[in-house]
Amino acid sequence: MAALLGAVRPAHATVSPETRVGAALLDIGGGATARPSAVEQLLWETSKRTSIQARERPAVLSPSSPGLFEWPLLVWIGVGEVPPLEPAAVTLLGRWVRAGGLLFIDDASPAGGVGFDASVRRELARALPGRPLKRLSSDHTLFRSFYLLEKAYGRIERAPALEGIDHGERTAVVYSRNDLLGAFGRDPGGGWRLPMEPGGDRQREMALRMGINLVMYATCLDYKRDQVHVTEILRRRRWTVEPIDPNIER
Amino acid sequence: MDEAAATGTEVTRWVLLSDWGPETLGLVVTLCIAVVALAAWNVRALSRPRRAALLALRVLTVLMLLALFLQPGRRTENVSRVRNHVVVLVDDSRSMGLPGERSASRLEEARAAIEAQGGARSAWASDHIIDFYGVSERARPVQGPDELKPEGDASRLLVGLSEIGQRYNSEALAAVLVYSDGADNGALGSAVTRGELGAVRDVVGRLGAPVHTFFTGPDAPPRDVAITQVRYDEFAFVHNAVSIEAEITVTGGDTAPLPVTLRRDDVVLARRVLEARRGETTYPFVFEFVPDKTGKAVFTLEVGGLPDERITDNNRRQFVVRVIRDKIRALQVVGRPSWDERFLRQLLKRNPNVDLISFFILRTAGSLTLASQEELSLIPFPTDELFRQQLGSFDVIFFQNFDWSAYDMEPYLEGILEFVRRGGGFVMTGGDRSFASGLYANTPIAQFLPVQLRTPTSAAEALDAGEFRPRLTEAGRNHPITRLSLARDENEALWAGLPPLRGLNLVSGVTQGSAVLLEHPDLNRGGAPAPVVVAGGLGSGRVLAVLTDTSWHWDFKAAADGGDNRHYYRFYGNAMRWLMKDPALEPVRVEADRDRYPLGAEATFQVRVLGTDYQPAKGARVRVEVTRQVFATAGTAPEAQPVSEQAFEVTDETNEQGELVVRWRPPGDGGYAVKVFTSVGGVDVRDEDVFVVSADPVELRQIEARRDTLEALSAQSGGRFNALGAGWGALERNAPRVSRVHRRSDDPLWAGAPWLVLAVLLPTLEWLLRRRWGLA
Repeated sequence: MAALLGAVRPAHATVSPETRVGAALLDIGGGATARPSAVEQLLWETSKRTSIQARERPAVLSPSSPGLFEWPLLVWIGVGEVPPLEPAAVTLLGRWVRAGGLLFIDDASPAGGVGFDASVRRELARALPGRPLKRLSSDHTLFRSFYLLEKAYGRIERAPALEGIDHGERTAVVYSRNDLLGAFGRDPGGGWRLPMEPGGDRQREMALRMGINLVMYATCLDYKRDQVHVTEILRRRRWTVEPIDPNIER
Repeated sequence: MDEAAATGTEVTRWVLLSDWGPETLGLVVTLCIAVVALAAWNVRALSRPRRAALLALRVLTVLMLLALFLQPGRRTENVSRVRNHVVVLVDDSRSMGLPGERSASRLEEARAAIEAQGGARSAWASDHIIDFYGVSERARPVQGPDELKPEGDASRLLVGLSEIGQRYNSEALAAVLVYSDGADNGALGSAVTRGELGAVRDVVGRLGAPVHTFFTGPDAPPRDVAITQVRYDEFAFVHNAVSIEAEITVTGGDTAPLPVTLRRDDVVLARRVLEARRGETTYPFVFEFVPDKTGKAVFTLEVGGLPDERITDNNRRQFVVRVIRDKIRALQVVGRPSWDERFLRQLLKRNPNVDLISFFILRTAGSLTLASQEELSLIPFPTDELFRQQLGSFDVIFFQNFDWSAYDMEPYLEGILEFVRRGGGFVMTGGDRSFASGLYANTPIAQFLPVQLRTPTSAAEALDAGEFRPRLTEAGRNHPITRLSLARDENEALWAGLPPLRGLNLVSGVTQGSAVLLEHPDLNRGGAPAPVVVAGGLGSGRVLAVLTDTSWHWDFKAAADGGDNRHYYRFYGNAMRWLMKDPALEPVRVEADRDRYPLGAEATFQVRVLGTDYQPAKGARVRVEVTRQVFATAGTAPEAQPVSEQAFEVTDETNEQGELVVRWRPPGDGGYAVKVFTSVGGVDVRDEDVFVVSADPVELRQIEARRDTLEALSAQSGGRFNALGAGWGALERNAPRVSRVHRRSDDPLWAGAPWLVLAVLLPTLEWLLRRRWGLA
């Protein structure tokens, strides 16, 4: 049709490239550089496999930057304990989450490392008081927002489940202890930077699917869960009857 | 109650003039017995004859003394008897105007029958006062049956009898005579139909007098077709099926098939045919339809009449149904997930008045698969179900960056055009797959979009990627969609303070009649600033174009400086209300204070006018016109289209509050429409409301004479059911009970001389004989 009309179909995913679906890395404790090109790779894969046209290069932002509100999806990668955030940053993060943002936290610390985990729980308790992290059940929309997944995949298998914090009807914080983004980064030679543990291409593929589901959830929220109710909603309204024919009927 | 003058009568009877109590009497009698017993013992030694003689004398003496003690006497009284009442109830409801057994009306035949009872009335005059009442909805006294006319709108015999019971105490009633055709449409009729006569028994029981009934007939039902019942809900929901149930009764014999028509205002919704079957009199009908717009409408149900039918008022029923909206059913179709879609969907989901159905294209034909179908949570895009089968069930459709051409949508675009034309709402938001860059130019969709589209030949023609802060236009200052605040200055400031947008779909202009609400401050197209938000419509539907995919900035980014998403929610909330034609946003409104008025009542119309600033318009000149729906002939030709004729018109101005109140008394029954016309900002606007005036002739819903109701009345009260011409002479009545004693005289027996002689002689003789026989 487009060819027939001689029309030009612009290459942009959105009217302005700056408003494509993208993510920003939080610059906290050096974690923003812990997994080079991982976020780019994830977003590139998302563009290739789904209808989302992503903005691949992530921004790197301080947690106290007002620029946070340009990015509804933030990524915080950690490799170890981090000092407490400035109060202004804590306040801003809390406001950002409540305004509609989704924060993905990825624990990339080495095996046995608990410093980052403790830091995450400490800072979340400050930013979102009264809302502890809770385990996300296997029927959470996150596990079927695009691919059907039965568990929390990552580069490693430190924790069997994801954790999250809900705000209203959405999950606003998602926390993985399995170094999810570690599965995606490529080295300059094109190979994968880091090996999978226990290993295998299948595990890396499943980790990638987990990441794509996360991006899809960030943009679609519970769309997939609501799909099961569509038939019921459609049938709820009895909006037609037997054809009313003005001709005589018996 | 008045009591008539007494008639005196002398009555004589024997009485005991003493007033000894029962204990004293008992003691005295015991003493007398003891005395006689003692005497009997005393004379036991004597011979039989002598014993008998002495005992006889003793007994006579004791009896005489006892008589003196009790004081018997003769009492003479002069007594007057007060007459009680015979109440004659004559049914004067409208059914009594129908023919009876002969050609005259039932009421005339009843009058003649009563007139023929002159002899009985004279004979009763000494004991009874005859009172006449007419009875229909209630009983009311009349001088005589000649005063009555068959005009009552209901027959409620039990109500009439209850009122009689309250007027007369039970001792004052001799009997009640009821002349009626028995066509009771109150409690009596329904109780007899159900066979539950407890209530009937209670009412007639309180009268304390027999109820004799006289049946006017006729036994054979008149030829009549009547709509006896209509069941409907006063409120219905738009786009939801509505049922109207009716019962039509045919009496008096066979008839050719009759047309049954249901209209909404003057539009025929459905036609049926009533085919009468032998042995059946009641025919149920059910009409179903789906209202496609909100508001009130007059519905008329009509059945064709019989050639010789006397009453045709009951062949038509009119009623008002108010169609309202339940939840807004919104369909959101998204070409690809984005932040714009994500925040709008969240907004729609949070609205409790919205039932949201979303469909997102999550994968395109060009997407890499790398997974089997079983590993994906994807479903096919149900184009046919959404855009053909269920399209009419939606109230508003959102297209967000949806690439119609990639999904074989061409067969459905005309349907979407028709959807909007018939009143559906439509919103298109920006993106590289929307408007011109979405190849919507020259499609049916373009026919209702409020912007002009040209198929672009370069990206620059279709899209601009720059950041900008949209500017409120003059139309936007007054339009309900862009009203973030009622205060004009504050509204301007709010818009100026919202986060900037980025990216704009470019169009070649706006369509005639559309309003640009927000515009680009710098870009121009076709000699005018490039539009950002445009409101328009086609036919009955309204359409909104939001030419950017970054309106979500007003939600998320507004929080950066401590703000919130109120204005984003207000903008789209206003848009939804405008798309759904919320009455509160209309510039002029008229409302009748009732949906249904009884005949003769005054109607009040409230008119409200808003100015271009949506504030009350003082001094607005308003013309109010009332039209009446007139049918060709009452109930005989329902196929004939009713015509509207003007019934009333007035022109006046609104007050300080932008309101005008008009009062008017409709001249007759039927369906009416009140219309108002005014001008707001140089644009003619109007509104309309409807109402019905009805006499509600319950009486005419069932006109068949019923002897069973009168038989039940008589049976429950101990009265008699009679044919119309039966005489009164043999009817049971309560005798007058109330009497007054004017004079009384007592004549005591013991005061006479013979009694005194006996009082001395008997004991003396006994004493002499006792001495002679040796007992003294």
